[in-house]
Amino acid sequence: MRLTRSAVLVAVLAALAAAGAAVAVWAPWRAATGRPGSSPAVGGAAPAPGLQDRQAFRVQPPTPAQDFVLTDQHGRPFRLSAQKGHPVLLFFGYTHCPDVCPTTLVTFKSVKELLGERARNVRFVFITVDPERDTPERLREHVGYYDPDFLALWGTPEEIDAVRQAYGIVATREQQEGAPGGYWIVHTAASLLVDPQGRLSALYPFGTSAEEIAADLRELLR
Amino acid sequence: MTLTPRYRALRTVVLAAVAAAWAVLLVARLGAGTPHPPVAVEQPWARPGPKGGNSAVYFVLRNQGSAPVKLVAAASEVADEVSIHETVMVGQAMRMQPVQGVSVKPGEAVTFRPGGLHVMLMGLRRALAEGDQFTVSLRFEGYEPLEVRVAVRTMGAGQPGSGMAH
Repeated sequence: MRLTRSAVLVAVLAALAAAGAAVAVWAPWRAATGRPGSSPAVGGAAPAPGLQDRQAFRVQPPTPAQDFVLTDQHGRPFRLSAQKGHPVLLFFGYTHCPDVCPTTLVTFKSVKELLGERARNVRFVFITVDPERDTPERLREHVGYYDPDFLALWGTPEEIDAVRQAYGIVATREQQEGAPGGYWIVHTAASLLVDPQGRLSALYPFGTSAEEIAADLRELLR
Repeated sequence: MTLTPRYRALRTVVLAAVAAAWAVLLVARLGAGTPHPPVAVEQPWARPGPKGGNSAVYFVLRNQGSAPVKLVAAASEVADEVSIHETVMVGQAMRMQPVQGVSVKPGEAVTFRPGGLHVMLMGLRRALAEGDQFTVSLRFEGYEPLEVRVAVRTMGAGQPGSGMAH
């Protein structure tokens, strides 16, 4: 299967630009910290950036989501287009991630709880951006710990790269002393919603509440 | 038994002297270099995580003293590695950044929360399940370490949707 840059990518990139103003944030941040891996002290009572005032971005109109096939933690193939009839909540992360990815998995778990019985129709999908360390076994243990119903997808580095690029997801390794295995992965922490018709319908920046995501899903499950 | 008034007076003086000496020693000991840091660590919590996995501790750190305090290190027996980190947003991407120290001005508070400052627990030695508790030791520059009891919860201060994100 070959993934092409499509309207999906354009839509996601537009969403990223609108929601995050990536370049504007990147440039001063680079200037302020000098180089990646530098360790400035944090001072004062400034709130941690990012968590508040994060608005979900709805793709209007929803655009067809790029199809892909990866393998789940039980060794079964997962094809996006085969999920039609089910909303799919996608998150790209990795199991060595200590803060953002577990937070998002807990948010997914809260979404599932908020939906009650109807959650059975939703596919909660975690796609690793660290296929070299995240073996299916490790994914099963670590993602399954949050909820055994969550799907954790892996593939070869090439397959993973093709999928995340089709969805405008950034993931770059950053060597750092003290990091598990010597590196962290800087990655897009937004979640994506694919509707039951297989269309990309929303992008949720990190920090979007479970209530907000659950409300969108309830709408799709009606 | 009867005691002479003189002996009674002497006994009182001796007891008073002993008490005074003890008080002086106690004060001297408390004032000797490494007192408790004048901080409140409010609502400490950590997320559940599997054995061998990672987690993070979050709290509100309030400086109740009259001088700045600086959190410089953390330790805990529940994880192989414990360090202070900050998640920094770069556009929509999240970057992990080690932090050398977190300064808090007198009367102010800094919130450690998901997607921001956190005490990172890497390589959990046991699974952390909701309802568990463990101890984390916070070291402030110039003070003796402060032991904090941390509750394992799925939701806490600063968690999206907890209604406590201030």
